Parts: sequence; C-alpha cells; structure tokens
Amino acid sequence: MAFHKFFLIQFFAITIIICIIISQISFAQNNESIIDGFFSRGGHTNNWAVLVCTSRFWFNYRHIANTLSMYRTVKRLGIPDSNIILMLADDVACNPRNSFPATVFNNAGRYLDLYGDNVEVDYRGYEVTVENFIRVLTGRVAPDTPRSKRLLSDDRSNILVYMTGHGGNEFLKFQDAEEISSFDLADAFEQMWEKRRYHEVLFMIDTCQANTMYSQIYSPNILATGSSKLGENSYSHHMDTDIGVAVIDRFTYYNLEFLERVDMQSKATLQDLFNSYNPSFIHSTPGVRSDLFRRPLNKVLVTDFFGSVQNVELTGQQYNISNSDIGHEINISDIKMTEYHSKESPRESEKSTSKNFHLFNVNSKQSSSLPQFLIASILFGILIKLVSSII
Amino acid sequence: MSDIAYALTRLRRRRRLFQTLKKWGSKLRFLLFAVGTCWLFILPSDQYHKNTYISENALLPGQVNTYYSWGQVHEATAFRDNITLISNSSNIEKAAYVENELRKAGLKTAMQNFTVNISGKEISGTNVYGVFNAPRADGTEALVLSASWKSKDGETLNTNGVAIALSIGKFFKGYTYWSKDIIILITDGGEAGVQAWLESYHDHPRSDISSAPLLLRSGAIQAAINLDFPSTNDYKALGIFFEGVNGQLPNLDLINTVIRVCRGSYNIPIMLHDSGHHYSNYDHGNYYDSLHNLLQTMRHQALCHPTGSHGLFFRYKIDAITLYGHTSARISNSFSFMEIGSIVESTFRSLNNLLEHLHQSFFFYLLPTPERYISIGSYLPPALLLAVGLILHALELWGKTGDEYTEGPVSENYHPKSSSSNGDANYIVPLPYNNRPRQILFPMTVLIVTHFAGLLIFFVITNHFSYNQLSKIFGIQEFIFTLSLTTSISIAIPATLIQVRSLNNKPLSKQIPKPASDWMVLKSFTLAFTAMIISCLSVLNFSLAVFISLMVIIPFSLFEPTPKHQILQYLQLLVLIIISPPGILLFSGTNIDEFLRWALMEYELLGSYLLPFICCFYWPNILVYSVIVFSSDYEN
Amino acid sequence: MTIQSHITGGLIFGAAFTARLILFHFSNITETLGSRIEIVTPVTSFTRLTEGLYLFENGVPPYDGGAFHQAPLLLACFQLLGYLPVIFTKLTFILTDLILAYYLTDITRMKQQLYCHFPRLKVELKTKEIDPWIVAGLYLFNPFTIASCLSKSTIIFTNLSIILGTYYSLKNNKSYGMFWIAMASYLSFYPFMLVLPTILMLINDAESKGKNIKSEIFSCAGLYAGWLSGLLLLSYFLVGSWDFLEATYGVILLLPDLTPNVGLFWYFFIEMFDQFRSFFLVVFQIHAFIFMVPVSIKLRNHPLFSMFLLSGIMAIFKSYPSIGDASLYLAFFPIYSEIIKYMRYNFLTTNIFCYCSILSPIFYHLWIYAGSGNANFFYAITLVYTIGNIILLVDATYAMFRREFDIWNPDLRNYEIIQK
Repeated sequence: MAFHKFFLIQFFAITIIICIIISQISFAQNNESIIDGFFSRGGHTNNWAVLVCTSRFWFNYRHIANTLSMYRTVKRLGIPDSNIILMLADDVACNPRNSFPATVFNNAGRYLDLYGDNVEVDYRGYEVTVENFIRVLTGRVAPDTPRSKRLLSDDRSNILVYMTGHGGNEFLKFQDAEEISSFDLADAFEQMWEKRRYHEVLFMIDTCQANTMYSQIYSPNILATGSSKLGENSYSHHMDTDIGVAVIDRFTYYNLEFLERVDMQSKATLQDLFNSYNPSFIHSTPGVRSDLFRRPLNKVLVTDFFGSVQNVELTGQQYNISNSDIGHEINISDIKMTEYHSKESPRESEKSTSKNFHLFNVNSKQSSSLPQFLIASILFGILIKLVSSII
Repeated sequence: MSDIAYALTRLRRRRRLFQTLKKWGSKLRFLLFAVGTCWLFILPSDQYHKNTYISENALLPGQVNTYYSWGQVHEATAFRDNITLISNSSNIEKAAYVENELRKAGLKTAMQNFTVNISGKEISGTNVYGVFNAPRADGTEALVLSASWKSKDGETLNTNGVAIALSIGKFFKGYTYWSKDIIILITDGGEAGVQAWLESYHDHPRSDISSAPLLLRSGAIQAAINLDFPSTNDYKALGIFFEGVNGQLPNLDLINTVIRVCRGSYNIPIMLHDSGHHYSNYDHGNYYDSLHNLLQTMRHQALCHPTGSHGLFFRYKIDAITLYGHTSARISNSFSFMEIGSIVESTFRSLNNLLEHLHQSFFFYLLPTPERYISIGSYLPPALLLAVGLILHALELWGKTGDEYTEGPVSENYHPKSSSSNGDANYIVPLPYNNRPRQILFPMTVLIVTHFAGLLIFFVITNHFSYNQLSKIFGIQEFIFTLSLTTSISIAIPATLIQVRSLNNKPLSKQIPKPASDWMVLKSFTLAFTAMIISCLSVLNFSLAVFISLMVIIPFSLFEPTPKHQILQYLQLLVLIIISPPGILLFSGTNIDEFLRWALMEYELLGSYLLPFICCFYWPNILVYSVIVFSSDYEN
Repeated sequence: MTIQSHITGGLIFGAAFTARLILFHFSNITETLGSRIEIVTPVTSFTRLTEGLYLFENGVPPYDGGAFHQAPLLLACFQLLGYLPVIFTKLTFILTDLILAYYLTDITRMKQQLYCHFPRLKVELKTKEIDPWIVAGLYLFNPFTIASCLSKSTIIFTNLSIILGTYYSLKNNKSYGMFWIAMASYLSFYPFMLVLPTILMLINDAESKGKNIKSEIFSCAGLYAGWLSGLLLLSYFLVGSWDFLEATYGVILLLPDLTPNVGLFWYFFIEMFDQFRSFFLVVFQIHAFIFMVPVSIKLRNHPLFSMFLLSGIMAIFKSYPSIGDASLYLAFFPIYSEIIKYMRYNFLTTNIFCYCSILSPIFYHLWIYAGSGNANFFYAITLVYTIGNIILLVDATYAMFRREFDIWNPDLRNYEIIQK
C-alpha cells in the first residue's frame, strides 16, 4: 500500500513537471512576440524636446536657424509648445543687420520663415547659460519658475535634446562666456535618470567635434548622435548672400532633409535616419552611440522622439465609470499628488536652506575679512612679542 | 663633500662662462650684428612670411551681394561732372555743393570751418560731412567714409573719390540693414582738415587748430575708409595705404577685408603704396618686389609720416586705410565707379557686422605682399639682436673698467680649519675692493649736458619760425639762422666738455689701482643707453629703430680715442658728422628749409615724434661720441 | 661740520628747491605726473584727496563718494592749507621733501657715529665715509622722488613720518620715535612692519646702558599702541564716524580698487576667480608682512639696515605701491655706501630701472591709447620692475653679510663663499 502511495505521488510529480515544461515551452513562444512588441513599442506616454542654440552674435545666424528648424519639425510632428523648451542665445530676427527684419530663414531660397508665427522662445539671450540648461534638465529650477520654463517630464517621457553652437573636444561654448563639458552633460543625464525624469533620450548635437560631447554619458536608455568626430569641424551648408551669412549647418540640413519626409503616421526608424547620413555630403563624420540604448534602432520610430504620437494601449480590463469608482480614482490621484509633494518638498527645503547659506556667505564676505586681518595682525603682535622676548 | 664638489663645479662653470664671454665678446658682438642684419634681409623671402587670414569671425568679407549698380554709376558720373565744373570755385562753394547733394540724399549735414597757422603758413578750409543714422540701431557706433578734396599729391583734385563718396552716401540711405551710423566726410586743406574734424568730433584739441565745434555728431567711430581716386580717369590698380602717424598701423583685419572683397568680386590688382608691383589672387611675388614693399613701409614708418588722411584716425583708436586709384600700372583691364562702389559697399557691409572695434588680428606686422604678412614675433628678433650686441659691449667695457685682477683657478682641497694660514695664490679670488674705482661723475655730466644740449636744439628748431624778425636783421634766411644756431650748440657743447676734462685731467694720483679712462665708462654708458633707446623704440616704431641701429652700431662700437693717430681721430669725427642729422640731410641732398618746414608741421599738427626723438635722443648720443673720440686715453 | 660742507648742503638743497619750484610751474607736467598710475595710486592720489576735501567741506561724509581712501588727518591738514594761496600747497610738498632729505643727513651722521666703534675692513680705514649731504642729494635728485613730489602724491607724508621715526629712534627718543612710526602706520598701514626695527634701535641703545630690555619693549609697544589709538580717536572726532577705517585700511587690505599700478596685486586679482579671492588676499598680505620677523632677527645689530630692507619689501609687496615707495628705500640705501663695492649686479639693476622707467609709459600707451597692446604688456613691465627691486635688495643683503663676514674673518676674505 505504501509503495502504491509513493508511486501515486511520484506520478503526480512527474505529470506536474511535464505540464510545467510543456507550458513553459508554449509560453516561450508567446513571450517572444511579447518581448518583441515590448521593445519595438516605445513604452513612453509623452514626448519632450529641449532645443538649445548656445551662440550669440549675428554671424552665428545659422545656429539659430538650425534650432528654429528643429523646433518647427518637432512641432509639426506633434510635440506641443508646452512640451518644448526652446533656448535661443540671440535674437537675429530683430538684429539691425538683418536685411529681412523679423524673419529667420534656413535656406537661401527663403521659402519658409522660421520665425513666422507662433514661436515660443522659453529661454532667450543671456538666460541661455550652462546653469539654466542643467537646471532645466535636472529639474532643479527655482520655485517661481513658470511652467513653460520647466521640463516636466516623468519616467514615461521620451526627450529629444538638440544642441548647436561652437564646441571643441568635450565642450560646448555657451554665449562666448562659459562652456559645458561632456562630463557635466553626462552627470546631468544621470541625475535625470536617478530622478526618473525620462524614459528614453535622444541626444543630438551639431557642433565642431560634436561626437566627443556624448562620449562620457553613462546613463541607460540614451541614444546619441553628433555631427563630427574628434578633430573634425562641422561646416555650414550654404549661405544667403543677401543676408550675408550662412543660414544652416550641414548636419542639421541633412537631418531636416530626412525629417521633412516624415509625418506622424510614418514608420521610418532612427536606423533609416542614421543610414541617411552621408559623410561626403556632411563634410564630417557623424557618429551614433547606441550602447546605452536597449531597443534595436531599426525598431525605433523617428516619431518616438521627434514627434508625439500617442499609442493606444488596449487592456483586457474594463473600467467602471460609476460614481464610487470615480471617487476611488480621485483618491488614488490624491495619494499620487501627496507622494509627489513629499518627493518634492525635501528637495525644496534643502534648496532654500542652501540658498540662504549662500546668501549668508555673500554677506559675510564683506564684513568678516577685516576681523580676519585684525586677528592675523594680533597674532603677529603676539609673535613679535615672543620673538623680542627671546632676544 | 659632494655638496662642496657640486658648488665648486658650479663656480668653475660660472668662471668659465665669464672667461669665454670675455674672450669671445668682440666676436660674439660681430656675430650678433651679422646675424641681425642678415635676418632683416631674410624677412622678404617667401618661406618666411605667411598668408594673411581673417581673424575676426564677424567680418565675413565678400559674402554679400552688392547692389551698387549702373544706376549709382550714372549718379556718380553726374557728380563727377558737376565737381569738375565747380573745381575752380572757392572752398565754401564746393562745400556748399556737397552739403546740398548730401542733404538731397536725405542725410543730416553740417559744415566746419577751420584755420591753423603752422610752420609759417596759414591753412584754412571747410569740412563738410553728412550723417546717416542707422534706422534700426541705437546710433552708438559709426563708420566713416572720407574723401579729401585734394589727392595725396596735394595738386590733383580727388574728383572721382568725392563723387563716389557722394553716390555711396545716397545709395546707403536706401537700405535698412545698418547697425552703425554712416558718416560721409569730405575734408579740405589736406591733413589739417582731417585733424581739425577729428579733434572737434572727439572734443579733444591737441594742436593749434582753431575750428568751429561740430553741430552734428554720431557714435564712437569704429573704422574709416578714405577714398583717394584722383582726377576723372579709369584706374588700373588699387593702391592700399595704411601707415599712420608714428608708424602706427591699422588692425590687419581691415586690410585683409578690403583685399578679400577685391578678390571676391572683381579680381582687381592690388598694389601696396605706389610701389609699382601689383598683385592678383594669392600672388606671392618675388623676393625683390617684396623687399621693395617692405623698404617702402619701413621708410614711411621711420619718417613717422602718415601715408594718407587715414593715418590721423589712429590716434583716436580708429582703424582706417586709404584706397588709392593707380592709373599708371601696366595692366590691360581697368576699373571705375562700378568696381570701386561695389568694393566700398561690400567693405562697409563687413564692417557693419562688427560687434566691437577691430582687435582680433595683428597691430604689429609687415606686409611684403598684400596677402602675406610677417608678425611681430618674426621681425622683432633681428632688431633685438642688434640691441643685445650693444648691451654686451657695454657690459664688457663696464667690466673692463672695474676688474683688473688675476683670476686663479678654483681649488677643491681647501679646508678652512686646517689650512687657513696657507695663502696659496691658487685660492685667491677677486676682492671686491681690489677693483679699480670707477669714475662716473664725468661720464654722467657728459650724458646730462649733451642731452640738455639736445633739448636746447629741439627748442631752437621748434621756434624756427619765430626768428623771422631776428633773421631779417641779419639779412639771412631763417633756416640758415636755425641751422647755424643748432650747429654752434652741437659744436660748442662737446668742445667745452673736452676742454674742461683736459684741464681737470691732473696727472694721475698714486691711487692704486688706478681708475680706468673716462672714455671707457662714458662709452659703456652711451652704448647701454643707445641699446635701451633702440630696444624701447622697436616696440613703438620698429622701422625707425632698425634704421637707427643700422646707422649707429658700427661707428658706436668701433670708435674710441686714438691719440697716437690724429688722422684717425678726425676720420672718426667725419663719420660722426655724416651720421648726425644735419650731415644726413646734407649728404642726401634734401632741401633743408623744406625739410624743417615739413618736420615741424608733422610735429605740431600731427604729433609725430620724429623731430623730438632725433633732437633729444639721437643727436646727443652722437655728440657724446665726439667727446669720446677726443678724450684722452691714459690707459696706454 | 666745516663751512665748505655747509655750502655743499646749501647748494644741493637750493638746487633741489629751485628745480622743483620751476617744474611745479609747468602745470601740464604736474597734471601728467598726477595722473600716471606708476606714480599715484588710489590711496595716494591728490586728485582723490581734493574730491574728499570737497565733500568734507560741504558737510558730506568724505568717504561716501567711494573715491577717497586716505587718512582723515590729511583732510584736516589740507583744509587748513586751503585757506592759504594755492602756492602753499606746492610749497608744502617741496618743503616736505627737503625736510625729509635734511633728516636723512642727520640719520647718516648718527649712523656713522654709531658705526665708528664697529670694526671695519682694513682697506676702508683710508677712505672717507660718504658725505651726508650726498645722501640727501641722491634722494633729492632721484627722478623717482622728483616725479613723486611733482605728482603731489601723499605718500610723501608717510615717507616723512618713517624718516622722522627712524631719526628719533636713533636719537633714542622713544616717545617721538614710536609716535612717528605710529603716524606712518596710520597714514598708510604698511609701515606697521617697521615697528620692529624701530624697537630694536631703541633696545640696542638701552642694552648698552644696561636697562631692563623687557620693560623697554613693553613700553615701546605700549607707546606705539597708545599713539596709534590716539591718532585713530582724533580721526574719529574729526569725521565723526568709524567709516574711515573701512575706506582707508579696508581698501588697502581688501583691494576693491583694481586700478593698475607698478605692484603685483592688481593683475592677479583681476584674473582671480571670486571664490579664491579672500584666500589669496590673505596670502598676499601675509606674504608682505612675513619678512618683518626674520629680517629683524637676522639684522638685529643693524636695525637701520633692516629698516632699509623692510621699506624695500614694502615698496614691492604692498597692495598699492608706487615709485614714491621705491624712492624711500632708495634714500636709505646710500647710507650704507660701504657695501656698494660688494654688490655684483649694479649694472643690471640700473639698467632694469632705466628700462622700466621708459617702457612702462610706452606699454601703458600701447595698451590704453593706441589700442595695439593689452594689459599683459604693462603687467610684464611691472614684473620686471619688481624683479629689479628684488635683485637690488637681495644683492644689498648679500653685500652686507659678506662684508661682515670679511670683517670677522680677515684671513678668509680672499675666498669665495658658497652657500651649500
């Protein structure tokens, strides 16, 4: 009997194991499609763009045109102004040297006025600084900063960061006065990752030796591309001889050429975009860095970053739209809100104290140095006394 | 122990160095001189200079379409004809015509009368200018387009130049892209007119010009282009004149801009000054042409004379050049209003792009050809080598007057305690008080007195024209009067000094060690002083420094008293007379009266420092040398 | 003193007086010199003094304008002078220079008396010591002195106080000596470091008389502190607030005015990042004062020489130096004329001084007026000037020690001495 019982148990165990194995096999087949779907779909729910032109002065017209062209493209592909942080270091449209006042063109044909209507510049002129740029990225902005100047992204946001200006080996110049290094940039991205401020980032930069700028990035889910490798300059595409300055840079020009053919329904992938780069046209070697990025590039749609295409996710569940449930939902959102607050508040208080501390320092600099010297001189006096008493 | 050994080797090395220097001093000096001089002749060579480049990113020269076209050319032709018609009218009428035309074009205009009494002449005239306020800018900056009524030779009427300036003024008014005001300035009375206008504009009177205050002003002037296109011909080549008062130069970017613009649009041949060598695109030219260009630049710089009205702007920190139309070059193509207008327009568009005043590129350079340059780092070393040779000589003489001791070798086996009584001669090192006493009183007196004499000469020359009355009494020309005064000063002072010294020169006391001859200390001082003048001057005016040093180095290093050979002494004196300022003037066959007039005008009107420099620094040193040559030498 | 020496003195002083009076007559010379940054600094400029005086006379606190940084007592002094004709202001400057030179001759005489008991080199026995009038003449006809005097730089009053302090200390008049040093420190702060050599002068004398040294030191320090606080209190009563402390000593120590001068501070602190400024300020100022102790210890038997060295160091390392400071220490130098024969770099230093005097206006012109140079040109020349001063001081120190060594070791005088 005992033997019989043991056999029965053994039999059950074996069947269970077999069942499990079989089910595992069938599941694996299912999983492949799930995984495939997971990677090909962006997994993001909102899109943001940070577009930065770091150079001033009339002869840098093309950098402003570059940035405004990008601005126009991302807007065309559906990112609303509220989700675009546009930083322009100068106002060439209203420069007295502009033969066509209040316009910015990116082509000598002057078909399209980039400054035409509905351009919202969030940071302009001297507001475009390294500090402000990093504050925008990391979200450490002053409490009184308006919403339009904040990057209010979350862990489901895809962010396009586009920069242009004059750069060098591992730095990009801001305004002729300061520069951001590739390390600063990498650390800013890491902070964003730690604070769950993005889901994926596409970092695009058009400047001399641009590829060095993304070399230090170490945070996950970041895809980077630049116009030229170490030791290479990045050139302008052509100039408008009536305006008298170059109007667009080559890298941006060929990017735009590709992007102009993309619309919101387009299935073009970033791989297609990167494949379209032709060093002999661009006159420099564009680079792509995808080692931190998890999805295969041929599965990533261009509109994942340059546009805001809302994916419709079908769920098996059904939402009850009765009153009680709505109340419940509100509760949930309340909790979220409080969580959000509790996350924010310590930082705020920390910042305010640190600021106070800073102010205190500034004030004390004026008054405390003199006592320092007096103390020093008293010390000297004691020293002299000692010395002379020895003599 | 090793410390001592190390110290000893260090000592020995130092001694050896000094001995070598002493031994090879004269040869080294000669070498420095030879290398310095040869180096100067390497400067024009093709391998030595580099291509010019635009250093200021904002300029973007030649990158705009020019709109100056046939309509404007016709206008300019009309202006030219009118100007030819009124060419014999009075200054006021001509100015009134220009003012009227500028006003018709829509510019604000004003006139300025000035008179100046300088070097016995009275210059008066009427400047006229129009200001076009940039429509979209704040008017804090301005650009000047100037043209003088007379071309740079002082005779020909600058007809085309004025006509173009007028047509450009009218043409610029039609565009809104100006970030700086444009001032069209037509000056009268040569350089005096420009000086009068600049002084009034900046409210900073420097010379004796009495002029009316300006009724119209604009912002700080960033750059100026002066047009000089004489008479009514077509032109073969574009001359570029850039040297200013005291050898100051405009920022190289300004010259580069104009040249790039010429190259870009019409490929007009370019000439530096009026050298006769014209250059087209990226022409390196040959060695002799480059040498000729360099020598011309250096001559202009050394004379501290501006090569055109542009040279007066530098004093007010305004970069400027003159564009000149050459008619004589052997070139088949010629150019006229159309090309000139386009060049000026394009240049102004570039200058319009400026964000601050030109500062990026070089201020110290030499141009062997229009598109090649030699920077200060490459041309200063030869001048400094020449000066270093003099310093070494001075040092050598200074040492000679002091140390007359025997130097023993250094010994290692010296131990203070054991062998302190061992007075081995080998250990003996120079005692500081065994040095010969140096007598510096007489040399210092000579230096001070001769420089005071220089001041006196300067004073006499600057008051040259106030001797009118005095010279009339004697019935001689005033310049002869001045000349006789200066020569008598320059002869009397050294003669007195020599006399005084020979009277005081008592038979030597039994002072042991006896002091060295006066002339050695004096020569040492003079050489050091000359070296200092040359090296300091080379920073301000390289060309003058080079010419001066080439002239004086050989006589100054070789000359010394030779009481045994009287004839040699007088030969030396002759050379000194030749290289003294009046000697140079006489031997070069210059009209002394003209020269004095010119030099005085340059000094008083333009603030050139050639005259004070020659009188107060150059001449006195020659006087000192005449004392040196005739001083007694009791060494031998 | 013979009649002949009186005549020499009279001639020298007369010539110096006439030369200055004539030069003062040319107003453009004095104006040019008065605006040269090598000669006047924000803390010694007469123009700024006039500004402060104007405010003061009109009942506005003189330091409110932010332009005036000089001691309040100068205000009182020049307010009084303001009631007299203009010529008296010029005369004050000339006479101050002459008085300074006169006391210099007295100092020389006292030094020679003091050192006549000291052993000397054999070769020196034959030669005469330097004529005190020559010392005065060298001071009066030093181009630096003349330029500084003509520019009406108020550094001259500091210099006079230092010379008077030295004079009275050598005369063993404790109270006056300390008062004048306190006055000098009051006027331009840095002479504070001269207290040590002054005290040493007084102690050396007291020691020879067998007094208690400790009490002597305390009394000196006490006198110094007393006089200084007295002067400060006086100033407080004059201007009615303690603002002047910050406007004068605050400016000297904290360097808010970065007008270029011949010193080392301005360029350095223009380039300095703000966060390091306080640190380097402390370092620089301590550096200026740190020489005080070792120099005084090493040269405790020659306090006058340490006075020379310290005023030289002051002229190099103070925050707003001018050539007027250099003229003071160069005035002390010929008193020790016996060391000149030991000095090795006379030719070099003379040349450096000449080059600097010519090149510094040229480079300043190229920087400010012609626009073809930049600040580095001028800073390079101030560096050369500083190096020239340092070489002179180091060389003089070497000569002093070498001579002393030779005196005590006559049999070793033929040898070269090398420091290991």
